[in-house]
Amino acid sequence: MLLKSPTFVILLFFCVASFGQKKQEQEFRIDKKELPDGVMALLSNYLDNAKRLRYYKERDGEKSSYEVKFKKDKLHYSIEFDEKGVLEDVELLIKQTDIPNEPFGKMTQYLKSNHNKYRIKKIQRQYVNTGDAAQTLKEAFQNRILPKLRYELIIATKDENGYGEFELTFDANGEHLLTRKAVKTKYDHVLFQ
Amino acid sequence: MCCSSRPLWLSLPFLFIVFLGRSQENLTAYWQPSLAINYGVTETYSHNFSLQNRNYIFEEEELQLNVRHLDLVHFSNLQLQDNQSIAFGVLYRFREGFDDGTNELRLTQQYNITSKPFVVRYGQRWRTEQRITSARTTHRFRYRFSLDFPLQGEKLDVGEAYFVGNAESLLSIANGSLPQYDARLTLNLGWRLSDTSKFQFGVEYRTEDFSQDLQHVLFFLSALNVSL
Repeated sequence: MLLKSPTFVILLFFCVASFGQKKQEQEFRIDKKELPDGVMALLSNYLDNAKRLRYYKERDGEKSSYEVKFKKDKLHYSIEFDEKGVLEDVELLIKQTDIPNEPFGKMTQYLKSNHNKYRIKKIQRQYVNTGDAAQTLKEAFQNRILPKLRYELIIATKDENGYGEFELTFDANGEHLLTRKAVKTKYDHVLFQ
Repeated sequence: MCCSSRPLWLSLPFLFIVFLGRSQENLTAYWQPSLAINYGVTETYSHNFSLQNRNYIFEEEELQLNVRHLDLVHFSNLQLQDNQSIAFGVLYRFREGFDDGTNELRLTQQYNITSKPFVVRYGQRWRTEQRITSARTTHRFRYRFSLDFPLQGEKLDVGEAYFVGNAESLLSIANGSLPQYDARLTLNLGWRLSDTSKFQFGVEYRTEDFSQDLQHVLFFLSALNVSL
């Protein structure tokens, strides 16, 4: 009788898991051939010596997007495309010291005035495609400091609601544009195991 | 959803079992199912309650299915920073009536720190324990290194699988006994069933008392974890 119970649990789990997949935002890894036409052709000049090349798809209801991620010349790139394969933006992981002093000072001021306690976990420089995809890629891979670029910060915070995580976007001058609450990943299943 | 690039992870636990089965005379194997519930009390303080039991499935070169004990466990967890926590735990092990061992009260103190540079999350956990039985109190010191990551992308979405691996060293000391050194290696595959639940199964290999009387112990683990 006891030996039969694991089979039951596994069957139950698959039923629950298949229900759970509906109506959820989902991001997953895909093969290169699943990318929209034209994506690889657009990136071909930039992928020489790229390491850890990975392709992802994100589905949120009816909407899909694609992401190509890799490491090149010790820099981590993340390039996002819409569902038709049109370039949306290029993000590049940077350090605090890669941001000019003046905009970083403004960002710090904003963070201090909006969060009691914070820790910067990750900074990305973002080149948004405003119409010319080839030019946007060129500027991003030249790592140029331009007035139209943006910075995206992931911060961990502590305030009256406890610990949280936020994703903030600033323009090149350090002016705050957007704040989104990030979903914290749970750790209970590892912590007390 | 893509899962074609991960067959290696699925086969790892089986390779592990084949490797172990080759030459273990002192091998004992258990099946240990568990059910855990976690919920927040305040923004930084949370509770964990779990119920688990351990069943002999292989001992003295014989297959069997006999209950060894039942554990009732509670942990009170306090978040110190976004990636650090301390916890105090109480476990009561009901063993009398199941086999010839004694019941045990266990107190645990724990500190944990995690870091997640990219997709893989690394965790380090230090524990001290007092294992109190009618015969003696054993003090145990544990260090565990863990890593976990989703298997179908960079984010663990509902319906997706994940991997958790642990390596742990343990030192037990008690009055009148020589120190005992143990090591554990655990590999788990899990699925996020919903926003609040996860199911995982895996294997754990333990070498116990390896400086004096080496024993090999193999665990088959299954766990349902509810996090409200």
